[in-house]
Amino acid sequence: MLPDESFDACVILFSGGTDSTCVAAICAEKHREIHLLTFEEAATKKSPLPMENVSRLKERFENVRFNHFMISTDRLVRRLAYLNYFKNLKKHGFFLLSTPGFSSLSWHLRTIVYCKKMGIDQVYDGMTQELLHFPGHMPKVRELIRQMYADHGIKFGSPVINWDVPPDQRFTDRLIVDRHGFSIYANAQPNRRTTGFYLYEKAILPHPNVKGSLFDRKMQHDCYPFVVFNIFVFWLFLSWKSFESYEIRMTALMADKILEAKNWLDTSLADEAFSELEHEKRLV
Amino acid sequence: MAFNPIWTLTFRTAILYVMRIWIYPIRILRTLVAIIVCGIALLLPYKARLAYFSMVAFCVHLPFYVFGHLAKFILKKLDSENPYAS
Repeated sequence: MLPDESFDACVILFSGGTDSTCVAAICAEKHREIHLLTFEEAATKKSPLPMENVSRLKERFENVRFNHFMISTDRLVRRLAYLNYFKNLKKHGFFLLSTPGFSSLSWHLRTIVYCKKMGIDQVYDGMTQELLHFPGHMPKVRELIRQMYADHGIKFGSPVINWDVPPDQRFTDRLIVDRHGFSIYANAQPNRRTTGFYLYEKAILPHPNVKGSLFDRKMQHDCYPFVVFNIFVFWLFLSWKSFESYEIRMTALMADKILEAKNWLDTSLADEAFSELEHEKRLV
Repeated sequence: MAFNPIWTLTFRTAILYVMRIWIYPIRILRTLVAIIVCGIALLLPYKARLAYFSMVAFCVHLPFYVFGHLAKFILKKLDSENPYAS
């Protein structure tokens, strides 16, 4: 949950989707200045710039200053995926295909550098209890990430992590849609505490459940492509081993990657001009 | 025909038995496919790996694209169109 004190500025890892927009809306009632950071890599370069919900937030919270930046972490993702490759391949095997995890780790690393540069000590993301096989979504890995922020004097929180999530979107849901392409289940449980419902109540979104719809795809920046990663997880590993064993091995990999990234982070923070970094591109 | 619980149970057992026989070959086949798909990815450098990810994603989504085009074709034949397309 958000602390009670009012802070001046905070950073939100912002994909433009329902969850991160909801976090921005919650923070807009506590903070006077919000920095929204969207990250791109070569794999997500063609996805839409998530600016639609920023406009909605600005309209709804006129007294809050929103700064929206697009930051490329492509070189960092490549580094995380290939540094000490053969040593890691021997140790972690197919787990080295966890590029969605390296992608989210690169966002956090880059956010730490951004916070130190801007003098901000509060970071939020829009994590919910969905897709828990993704490294960046796993509670144990998130604890490592929270610790990494804490080591740099930054508080990291996920205000909507325990909120309800909408029912799974199935193929048939997408066949039977209303005029805007929203899910048919949207009104089935209107009182559930979902991020979509919060934004709907605050008159920021036109419908309580836009996840997976055409409307959602237009407003949200893509995640890292994860089809091959999912094939590894569900067809190869979880076909024979338990989820607990998967969690242990994934946490070990991410702990190693955080350790490997320490060098990059220290060098980046020591470089006062931040000349080695891929610079931010201001969107709003 | 009157409801016969013995026959129903036997039929259910037979179905479960067939499923149990098939579950391991399917699992093994799936694992072999996954080893090939993921093994290729492990050998590739960064840019080639990204292109490979996109290619595999395209193949996985191909049935959905084909279904969409088929629906469009049928609607056209019926002199109709998707009201949600725009």
